[in-house]
Amino acid sequence: MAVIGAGPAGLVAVAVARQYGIETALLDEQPRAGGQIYRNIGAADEAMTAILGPEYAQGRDLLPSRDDPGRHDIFGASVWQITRDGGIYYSHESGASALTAEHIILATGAIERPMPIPGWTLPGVMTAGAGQTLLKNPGLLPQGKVVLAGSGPLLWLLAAQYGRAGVDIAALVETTPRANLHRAALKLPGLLREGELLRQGRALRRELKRLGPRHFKDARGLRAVGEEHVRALCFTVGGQEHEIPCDLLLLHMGVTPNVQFTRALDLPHDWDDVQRCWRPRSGPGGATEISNLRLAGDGAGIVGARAAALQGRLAALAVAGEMGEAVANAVAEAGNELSRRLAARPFLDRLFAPGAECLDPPDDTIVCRCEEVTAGGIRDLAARGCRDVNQLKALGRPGMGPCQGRMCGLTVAEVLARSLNLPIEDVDYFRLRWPAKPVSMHELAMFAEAEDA
Amino acid sequence: MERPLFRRLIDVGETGAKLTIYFEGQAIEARAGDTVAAALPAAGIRDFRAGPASAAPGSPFCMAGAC
Amino acid sequence: MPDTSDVIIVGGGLHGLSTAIHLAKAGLNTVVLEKDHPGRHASGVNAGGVRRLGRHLAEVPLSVAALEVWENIDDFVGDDCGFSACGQIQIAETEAELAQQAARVEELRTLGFEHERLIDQAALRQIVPALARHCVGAIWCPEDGAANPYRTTQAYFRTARSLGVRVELGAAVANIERAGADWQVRTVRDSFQAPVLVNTAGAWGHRVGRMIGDDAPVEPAAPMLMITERVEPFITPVLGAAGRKLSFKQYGNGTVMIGGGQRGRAVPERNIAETKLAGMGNSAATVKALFPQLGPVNVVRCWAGIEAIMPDVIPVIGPSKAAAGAYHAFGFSGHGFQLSPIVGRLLCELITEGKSSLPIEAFAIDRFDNVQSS
Repeated sequence: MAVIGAGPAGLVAVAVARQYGIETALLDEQPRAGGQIYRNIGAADEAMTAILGPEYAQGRDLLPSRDDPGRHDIFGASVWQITRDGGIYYSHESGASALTAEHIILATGAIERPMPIPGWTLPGVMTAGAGQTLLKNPGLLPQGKVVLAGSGPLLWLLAAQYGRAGVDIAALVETTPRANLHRAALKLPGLLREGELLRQGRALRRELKRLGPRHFKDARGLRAVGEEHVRALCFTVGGQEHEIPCDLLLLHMGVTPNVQFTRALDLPHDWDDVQRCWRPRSGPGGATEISNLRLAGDGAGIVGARAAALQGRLAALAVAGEMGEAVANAVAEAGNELSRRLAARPFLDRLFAPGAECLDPPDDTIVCRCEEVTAGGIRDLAARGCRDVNQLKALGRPGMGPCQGRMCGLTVAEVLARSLNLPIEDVDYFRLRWPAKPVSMHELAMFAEAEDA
Repeated sequence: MERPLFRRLIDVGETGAKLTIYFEGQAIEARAGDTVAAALPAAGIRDFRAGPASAAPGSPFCMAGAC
Repeated sequence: MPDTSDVIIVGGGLHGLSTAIHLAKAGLNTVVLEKDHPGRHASGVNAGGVRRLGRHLAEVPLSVAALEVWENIDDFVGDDCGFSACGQIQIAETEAELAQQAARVEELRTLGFEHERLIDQAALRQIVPALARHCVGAIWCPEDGAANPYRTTQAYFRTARSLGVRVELGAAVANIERAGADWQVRTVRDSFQAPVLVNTAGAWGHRVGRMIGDDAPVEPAAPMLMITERVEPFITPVLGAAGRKLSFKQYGNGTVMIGGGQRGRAVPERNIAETKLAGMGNSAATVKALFPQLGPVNVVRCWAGIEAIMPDVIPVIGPSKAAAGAYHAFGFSGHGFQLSPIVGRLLCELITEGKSSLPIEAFAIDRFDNVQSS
């Protein structure tokens, strides 16, 4: 079996597979296990876990406790193609390699939802996830004036982590629309049932209050301003204008499934109208319409680290079951636990649903960062007859740059659909083709084959 | 060189050996295991990304291999 | 009541739209039925080569006439379609290849065509200084070039509509039958009726052909293209090779497009084409052999479109064998883009005058009949 992605879902999938004696390869782009959430967990010392907090430290439990000859961890491996028959192609230490697996579990996790605001391509603007990544490895803290802006649990968490480390946060600017809270409130019972997230959220809020950064809520009209470098974040709250000077602006608008692999495999995807993102279709045990290919974790729909780990367990149990192991009890147990964990999602999904401003930014906002296509440019192309995102891509180039549409795919579709007054399903998503990551001529040439005459 | 946007946590990350890398001919101290995108801002190089289309200056954005 | 018109065109790609433009200019009321949208497959996702160089001899007169339209493409469709006469060059890597090229150029000359020129190593190095040193010469067509396929398709589409052509999108044809002297074409939604039917359905052309009783041995295929990240400008013309599958072009933005015959997997039932790694690998190996300095350059995108390939890799153009009042133009086998302005004109001539001003006998749909029966 091969598992792609060494976050919570992938790590648990490998551990469970090994319990059943299944020989397993684990591939991840990072140099060490952990994924985004538990990045660098194996090397984090006490000082680091004190800053990052107990939720981060939980990741230690997922690391293997001893050497295991049946487990092949391949880190620093950027997977750029997988095939329906189990081929996995990846770049590793500046060369390309391939392996074949009878079963594949895709645990490729989430990516941060793009938060296009005017000026977000200025130097000095990064994502909150990037700020946290630099903290986890190699241990960098911002200095100078830092502003955090947007919506989502990570924004609170990073503010608290920076606060614990003594970073002075100039402002925490939340864009979460007030209306979201009312919609979420209806789903409170699920949050109570799950329990842990509610406790964590309350603790974070108390901590933030104690740390005391300037905290703006329901902010609108965000703009990063500056010439050579970001100078300030401008916005309004209740009609009142604010301008907060900053050297570093960290943006966040929640996370969405990373669909690059499932799209390139032409798997069916379903639109999530609350979270405004596509979810690859999967069934029990993460099964997809490709036999022997399963999904687990945030890549199949955002579920959070704890539920992702359970999905990794269930996917590996399903593989073990197919190999003739008796797994029914373990499946039932993990399934019950998963449904309890998932009970919190409807609340969180509604509370942190992206607001209209983020989905339909003003004309002068760059949407495709690679090709510098603006929201206005997309609306022009819509007016000229573009009916779906692939026509738009062919004509206006959004999604054609090195990020392969990761940073603009959702926004391009939202802007186009709203411009045409069409449901998002009609404007579709970028048709993605391998390689899923840029790959050099040298590496591709290794897979040349003798041709028929 | 401008004031770095980031500083290293003193107590953490000392495990990586110090080494010197060169950026546009300029010697920069880094640690073994740093990504280039982390080592440069830590050394005070703020803007070293050129946008793929217009070469507009920028900084690393997502630090997760997505952007 | 079915919608009635003078001509129904099945397939809204470049050839269908070009035909529609010519027919509309001739005063005929024309409807185009397009199952997706213009440029969904071969018309929109090809390499954009505007190439006379290396054409099958039967295609040469058409291709030469087509270039004359391309040189003033704005007059035809009100847009420059991104056309640039950057030249097309076909390199020879061995003396044997160069000798074959010399014979080819000589053969064209005896037929009265002088657009292909043989050049030696020194001239080749002047035109493509970045090329690997082992290349010995080339055929050079400086007036050829490249255009932007999607932009071209859009310009054809706009022009057809501005001339009053009705282009029905999402109109997949379900069946075709006779209604007296007319054709009746049913799509998923509507019914259309006209005395003349044109089949420009690309990789689906043989299916439409079968609906009116014509059979043609078309293979759907999926030509692949790769695009690199941006690199410093290093080559101007579109480059092919005598001994390799290659079409190589650097755009103004610095990206390099690599195509030229490597095939993915066409899945016409699902309306998609998949890329194949071996083909990408072969293209990369070819690029490295001819431009070693590109080894570290990244490929950022790859795609494939569905195209119809004929056994003799030249298209079907001409009247139906089985039925009166029906015409075909499909099966362009990966190189129909450049021919599109002229194919529409020839079909229009066939429909309005009963004859074509350029020789099209080699493209007859029944040319495979003897092969099949023997």
